[in-house]
Amino acid sequence: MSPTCQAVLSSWSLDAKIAWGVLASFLLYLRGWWVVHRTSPRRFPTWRLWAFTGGLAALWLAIASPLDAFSGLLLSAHMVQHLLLMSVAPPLLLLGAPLLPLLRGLPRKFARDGVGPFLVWPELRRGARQLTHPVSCWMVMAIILCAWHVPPAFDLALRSPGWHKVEHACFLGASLLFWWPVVRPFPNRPQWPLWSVPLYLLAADLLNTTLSAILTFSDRVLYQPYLQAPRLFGTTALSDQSCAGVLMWVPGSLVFLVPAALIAMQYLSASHRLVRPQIPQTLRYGPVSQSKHQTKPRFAVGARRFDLLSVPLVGPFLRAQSGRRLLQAMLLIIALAVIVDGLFGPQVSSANLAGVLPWTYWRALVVIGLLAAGNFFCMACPFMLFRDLGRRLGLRQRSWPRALRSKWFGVALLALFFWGYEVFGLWDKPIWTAWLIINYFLVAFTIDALFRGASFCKYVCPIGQFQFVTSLVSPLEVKVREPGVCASCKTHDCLRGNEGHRGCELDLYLPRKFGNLDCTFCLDCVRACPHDNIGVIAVAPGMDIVRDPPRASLGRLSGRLDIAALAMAFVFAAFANAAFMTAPVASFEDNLAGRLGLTSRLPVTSVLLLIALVMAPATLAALSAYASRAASNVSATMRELLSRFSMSLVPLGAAMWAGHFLFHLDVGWDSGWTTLRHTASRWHLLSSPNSVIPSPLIGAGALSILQTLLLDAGLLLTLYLVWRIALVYAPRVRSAFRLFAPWAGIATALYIAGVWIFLQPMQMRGLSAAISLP
Amino acid sequence: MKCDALVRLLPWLLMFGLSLSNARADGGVIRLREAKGPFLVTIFTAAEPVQDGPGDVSVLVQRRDSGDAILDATVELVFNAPAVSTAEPVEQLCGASGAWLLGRSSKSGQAQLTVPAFRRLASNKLLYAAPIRFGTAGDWEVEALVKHRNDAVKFACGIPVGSQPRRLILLAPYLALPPLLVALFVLNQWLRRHPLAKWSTGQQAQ
Repeated sequence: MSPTCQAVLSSWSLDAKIAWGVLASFLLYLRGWWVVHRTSPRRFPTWRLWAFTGGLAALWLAIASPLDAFSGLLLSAHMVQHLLLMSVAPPLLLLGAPLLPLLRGLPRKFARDGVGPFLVWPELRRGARQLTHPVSCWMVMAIILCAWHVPPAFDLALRSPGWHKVEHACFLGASLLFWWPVVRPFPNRPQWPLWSVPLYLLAADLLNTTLSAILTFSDRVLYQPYLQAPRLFGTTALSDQSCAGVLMWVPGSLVFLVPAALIAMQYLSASHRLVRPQIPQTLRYGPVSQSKHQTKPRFAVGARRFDLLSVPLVGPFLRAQSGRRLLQAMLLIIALAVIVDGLFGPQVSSANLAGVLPWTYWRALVVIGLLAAGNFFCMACPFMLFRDLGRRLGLRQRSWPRALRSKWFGVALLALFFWGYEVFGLWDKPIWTAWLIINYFLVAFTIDALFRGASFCKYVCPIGQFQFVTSLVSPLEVKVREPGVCASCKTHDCLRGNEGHRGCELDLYLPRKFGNLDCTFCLDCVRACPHDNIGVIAVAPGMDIVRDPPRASLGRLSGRLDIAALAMAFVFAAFANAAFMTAPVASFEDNLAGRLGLTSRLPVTSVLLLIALVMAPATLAALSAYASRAASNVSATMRELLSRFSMSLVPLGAAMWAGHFLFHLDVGWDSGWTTLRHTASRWHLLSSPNSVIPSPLIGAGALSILQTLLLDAGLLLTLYLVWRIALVYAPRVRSAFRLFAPWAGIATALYIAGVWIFLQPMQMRGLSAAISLP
Repeated sequence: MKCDALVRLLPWLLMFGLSLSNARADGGVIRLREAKGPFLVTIFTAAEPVQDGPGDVSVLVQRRDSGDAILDATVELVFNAPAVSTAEPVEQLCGASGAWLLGRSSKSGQAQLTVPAFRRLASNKLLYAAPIRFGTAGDWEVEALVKHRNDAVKFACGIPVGSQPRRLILLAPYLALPPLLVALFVLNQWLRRHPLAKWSTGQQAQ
C-alpha cells in the first residue's frame, strides 16, 4: 500500500462526545434488547440488534472515519459522509425498533417513574404523532436538505466546526424523521396506508435528483471553500463537485428506489395484510396510577440485583480471608515505604513518596473507589492488622468508654485533621506525613489492643469517618440477599461469629443493617454466615438516606445529631479544603494577616477554618431546620429535621471532594513512577530518571467539564434526597416544598461556591517542584 | 448476561472518553496557500483561535509540479508573538495534554518559539500538525519551515487570535443541566399528581 493511501486510511479522529454517545447508546440498547428479546423473541429477533449496531457503526464511520478528515478538502468525501448520515444510519437505527429496547435499557425504576409519565402525557403524544406524520416528516427532510445545500449555509458549515456539527445533527435528525413512516418502528402505529410509502419515497427521490443534477452539471464550483482548498489526488474542484453530484444521484436514489420497490411488491403480493402492532403486556411499562383491576407490570426479567461476590475471580478473592490479608499487606508495604521515604528522603514533596502517594494518588483513588464501588479502602486498611496483633496478645479486655460511644470524637478529630492539613501544609511536608502515619499506627494499635470490638474504626479513625460518610453514596452495599432466610436464622453468626470466623466487630447485625454507615467492608459477616445469604449488592446511591429505620448499632438517623454533624463537617470541609488552595482565598488570607499585622497566616487560617467547618454549618443547619419547621408546620422537632436533612447534603460534598481530588490526580498522575524511581535510585535499586515535566491526563477544559458534571450530579441527587425526605414529613406538595426550600437553598449556594472554586486558578500543591527534579 | 456490570463501567468509559478530547482542528481555515521552491504549502488553523483555546496549526506539503502530498518532510513552525508579548513555553500543568501553551509576556522570554509539527498529531494524516494554545490574544505570525531532502523553504502568514471567552460561558451547557433537569423533574411530579394526567393514563390503559 502506498504511503499516501496509508495516510488517508489512518486519518481517524476520535471525538470524545461522539464516542461516548455511540457507546452509551449501544450499551443501553444492548441491555434493553436482551430483556425484550427474552420476553418476545419473535418481535425482537437478533437481526434487530445487528441493524441497530450497523446504524451506530455507520454513524461512527461518518463522523470519525477519514471521510470527516477529508470532508473539508473533497466535496465527494463530504457527500459520502452525508449519505451515511442520511440514508444508511437512520433506516438501520429505526430497523432496530429502538424505542422499547432503549427504554428497557434504562434502570427500571427510572424508566417507569421518570420517563413513564412523559410517555403517557397526552400533549406530548399528540405532538409526537404530529411530528411523525408522513407530511411533517417529508417536509422537514426537504427543508433541511435544501437549506443546507444553499451555498452560504454549506460554506458556513465548512468554515465553522460548530456549524458543521449542527449541519450533521440536522441531517441525522431530519433523516430519522423521514425514515420513520417508512420503517414504522415498533410500537409505532402507521398513520398512512402501506401503498402511500412508495409514493412518499419517490417524491423524496425527485427532490434528491434535482439537487444532485444541479451539482453534477454545474459549470462552476458552487461552494467557495473547495475552490480555495488544496487539490488532492489529481482532481479539480469542478470534477470533485461532479463526482459528489453523481454520488448523491446514483447511490442516493437507490436508497429511495429499492425500498420503494420492495414495499410496493409487499403491498401487491397476495399475502399482504395490514397488521397493527400489538404491544404485549409484558413489554409495557405500567401507567402511573394503576387501578385495582389492572395487572401490575412484571419485571421478572433482570430483577435480580448485581452482587459483586457472584462475579468470577473477584467474588472468591474478596470472600477469602487471604485475599484481604494480601491487600492489607500490600498497603502496609506502601505505608512503610512512605514512612521511610518521608523520614529519610528529600524533603521535596514532589520527589518524595510521602508527598506523592498519599496526597496525589491515595485520596483521589479512595474517593473514586467509594463513588464507583464501595468502601474498599477500609477493607484493605493496614491499621486493622494491629487489631489482630492485640487480639493475639490477649489484651483486649475493656469496653470502649460509654461517654465516647458516638461520632462526636470522630467529628472533632476529622476537623482537627483538616485544620492541621491546612495550617501545617501537610501535603508539602513529607516528614510530617510520615509522622502522621506512624502516630496513626500507634493510636490504632493502642486502642485496638486495649479495647474490644473495632473501637478505633467506629469511634476514632478520622479516615474511617470520612469513608463512612462518603460510602452513603456508594453503589455497593454489604447486605442480606434474602431477608426471609435471616428470619429463620437462630444463630446470628453474622454478628456473633462462630468457631471458624469472626462476626461483625462493629456490631452491625445484618438483617437490620441499612446503608454503609459504619461498615468497613471487612466481609467477616459474609464468611461467618452459614446460609451464604450476604452479598455485596448494588443499591441506588444515596437512597438509603431517605429511609429512617432503626439501624443496627446506630439507631434512627433522626436521633443522631452526631452523625448529622459528621455529615455537615464532611460537606463543608469539601468546599473549604478546595477553596483554600485557590489564589483569591490565599491572597485574601495574606491581605488579612497583613492588615492585622500578623507575621504568620496561621491564626487567620485557623479562624477561617473554624468558621467554615463549625460555625457556618451549625448556623446554616439550625436556621434551615428552624425555617423549614416554622414554614411547614410539621410536628417533627427541629433536632430531628436537622439530623435528617443534613444527611441529604452528603452527595454534594462527595462530588466536591471527587472534583477536587481528580484535579490533583489529573495534574500529577504521572509523577508517581518518576518519584518511585528517584526513591529507588537513592537506595541504588534503579537508575535515576531524567527530569520530566508532568503533563495532565486530561486537558484543563475536559477536567472543568468533568468537575462541573460531578457537581451537577451531586446537586441533583442532594435536591432529590431533600425532596424525598420532605415528602416523608409532609405528603402535601405545598408543605413539602416549604420544608424543602431552605435546604435546597443551602445546596444551591454550595453548588455555586463549588463552581466558583473550580473556576479559580489552583495552586499545584506539592507539585510545583516537579519540573526541577534533581 | 452481565449488563449491569456494563452499565457500571459507564463512568470509567466516560473518563476514557474525556481523555480522548484533544483539540485537533486540522483542516480548519486556510491561512496560506503558496507555491515556493519545489513545494506547494497550505497552512490551516482552527477556525477562530482564541486565547487559551485550541488553535492548532497544520500544514499540507505538496509537490509543486504534481500536487502529490509529501509525507516525509520536516516541518517546523516558528511563532512570533504579538508586539506586546513574547512567546515562551509555559509550564504545561494547566494546558491540554501534550499541547504547547504559548505564553504571555515575561521579562526574560524569547521573541519567538519554534515548535515541530508532526503527521501523527493530525487527524488528517496527510497534514503536519502542532497542537497549540495561544496564551495571549493579538495578531500572531507563524513561519513554516519546510525541509525535504536538500530543499528548505520558509512560508509565513498571520494568525489573528481573539480574546478568550469566559470559562463560565464555556461551561454554560453543563451549568444549565441542573435547572433543566429540575424543571423536568417538576413536570414529572406534576404529571404524576395531576388529575388530568391520571385520567388520561387510565384511558390509555383501557
